Amino acid sequence: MKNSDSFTKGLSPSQRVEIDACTQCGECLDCCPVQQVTKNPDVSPPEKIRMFRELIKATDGLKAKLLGAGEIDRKLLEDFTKAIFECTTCGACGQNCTVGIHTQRLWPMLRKEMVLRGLGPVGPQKDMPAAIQQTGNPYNKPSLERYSPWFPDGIRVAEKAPIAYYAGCTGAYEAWPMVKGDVLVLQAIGDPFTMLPPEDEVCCGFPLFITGQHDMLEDLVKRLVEAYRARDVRTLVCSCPCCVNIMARDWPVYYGKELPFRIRHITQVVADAFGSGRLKIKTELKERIIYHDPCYLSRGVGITEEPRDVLRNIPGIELLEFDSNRMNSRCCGAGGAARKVFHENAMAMGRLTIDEAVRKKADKLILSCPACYAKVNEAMQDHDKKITIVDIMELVAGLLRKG
Amino acid sequence: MGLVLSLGFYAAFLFFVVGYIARMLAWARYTPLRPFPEKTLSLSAFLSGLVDILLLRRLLSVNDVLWLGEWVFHASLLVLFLGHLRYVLDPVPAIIAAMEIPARVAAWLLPASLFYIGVMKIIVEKKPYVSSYNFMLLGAMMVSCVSGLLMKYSFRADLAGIKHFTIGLVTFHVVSLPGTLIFLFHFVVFLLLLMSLPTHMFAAPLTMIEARQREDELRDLMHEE
Repeated sequence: MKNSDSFTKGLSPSQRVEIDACTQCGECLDCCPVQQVTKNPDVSPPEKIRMFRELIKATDGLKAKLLGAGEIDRKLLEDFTKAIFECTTCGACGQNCTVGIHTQRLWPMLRKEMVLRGLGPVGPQKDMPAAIQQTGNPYNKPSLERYSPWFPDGIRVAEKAPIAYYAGCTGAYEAWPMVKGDVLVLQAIGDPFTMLPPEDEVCCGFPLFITGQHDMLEDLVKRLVEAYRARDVRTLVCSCPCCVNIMARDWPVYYGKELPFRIRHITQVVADAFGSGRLKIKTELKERIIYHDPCYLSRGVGITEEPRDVLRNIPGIELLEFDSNRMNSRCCGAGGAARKVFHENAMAMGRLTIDEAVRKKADKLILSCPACYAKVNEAMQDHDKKITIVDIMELVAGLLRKG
Repeated sequence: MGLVLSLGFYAAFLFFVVGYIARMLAWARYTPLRPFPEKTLSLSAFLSGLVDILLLRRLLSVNDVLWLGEWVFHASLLVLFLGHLRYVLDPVPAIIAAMEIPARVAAWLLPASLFYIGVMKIIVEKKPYVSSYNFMLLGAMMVSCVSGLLMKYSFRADLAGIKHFTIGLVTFHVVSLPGTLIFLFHFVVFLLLLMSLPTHMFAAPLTMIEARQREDELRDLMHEE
């Protein structure tokens, strides 16, 4: 695609309206995590929209229509590309948008426009399609090592079952305590569950979607959906908010019809099990714990209460809240596939999360996202403040084991 | 001069209308990837969105200090717009005639709210992002307000002559311009504003309604029965 081609062909009608709807009021800067750590308005949400409007004007404006689109200002393209890829796509700007722009969906689509022109993705994001093609995961790790390093002994995985568990690439390769906790808790609930063989449990497509590299999405989605359908799955359980997000929102689009199963985040399944009495924690935990809402679980798919329900089933705990919580949670820095490109930003955001948890005198920081888990742990290295970081299912599984 | 200004008015109006028709056609252009399942707007989302538009509720939830100025600004602008319709309607409908007193109040509230917004954004809250385009508009609005007030209270403009000219504009009968310089200034600023109205004027109400629909859908996305 040439730079002189329209910048809005890939956008939905709603997104085209959204580009025009921004009032440039700048209120969203107060909640933008990138702004909090960079203080750079050039990469702020309204500035991204202003620059994108300039690009649209250059290709679709009256002058371009009458005289043809000329050469687009290279600096504008580069500045916009940097701004759009530095974003963590956490969606806090959209949550606080005075006109209700759905930025968590808009930014990835604007990234796609840059990818189509060869201006994105950036850094290691470029290697993801080839890695997924070769190994099934964006980390380019051997597919046969997807489960073996963390999968607990004694867990029975059914060949076919109404419930399936999808571990996800980030959990399986970068957050082992989390996925280990998931299967231990599923085992404790007692319903048989199935999993795909490691070489068949390929990437859900989210890293490609979020970086604007959409070419392989349809193939990945169809491959996964058909594999679960062949195992008679009616409920697909996953703990990664990013995977859950693309499964619930976009898999039906790329599959072309309604999915043959429903998607559930693991905290929904576990909260139900506590509610029905099938799961009970007897061990008391006399600790102050603070729960961080992952952006793609809260603003992404609207799950904010089930994780808290799960934690309230632990006898003795005192549940604390971040100042910005639930739908207004602050990104820990791991989102938008920016964490490995804009590393310093991600570290600084992760440390803001740690600092607030320490300031509130929490004994444990509870996470429920593998990317958050990996990044906040990394941010704590060489940081002067320390806290015990635990995944929610890791915590529950540990307490269930104690009795 | 009347002919020049009339042509300027038609050009500005055409620019505004054609610009928005082109924009709306661009909004509705075919898109290859359709959402599945296709969504339809619910009545409750539409009504909630309407309340959001009328009260600027989303702004209220993030910045109540600025909301006060913005709401007064938008309400005053609407009242003034309705009040100004008496210059292009003959006979003047009772409802428009009844707007005269509110419009007089709005004529003072509008510049006051603009001043309040500017002070709050720049001096009190020291916003890190300030749109130069918005401030250009704010300045032009302020100039328009002040010239309007001067016309009303200081220069005592020839209202009958002005109405004769504006009725001529909308009925395509070009008449000579009333000999008031301040009206000429006020009218030219209005034409400039008409050509540079922000795109959010029509787009933002649509996104506000869509946002309500999206919030409803988000509740059901992972919690369907």
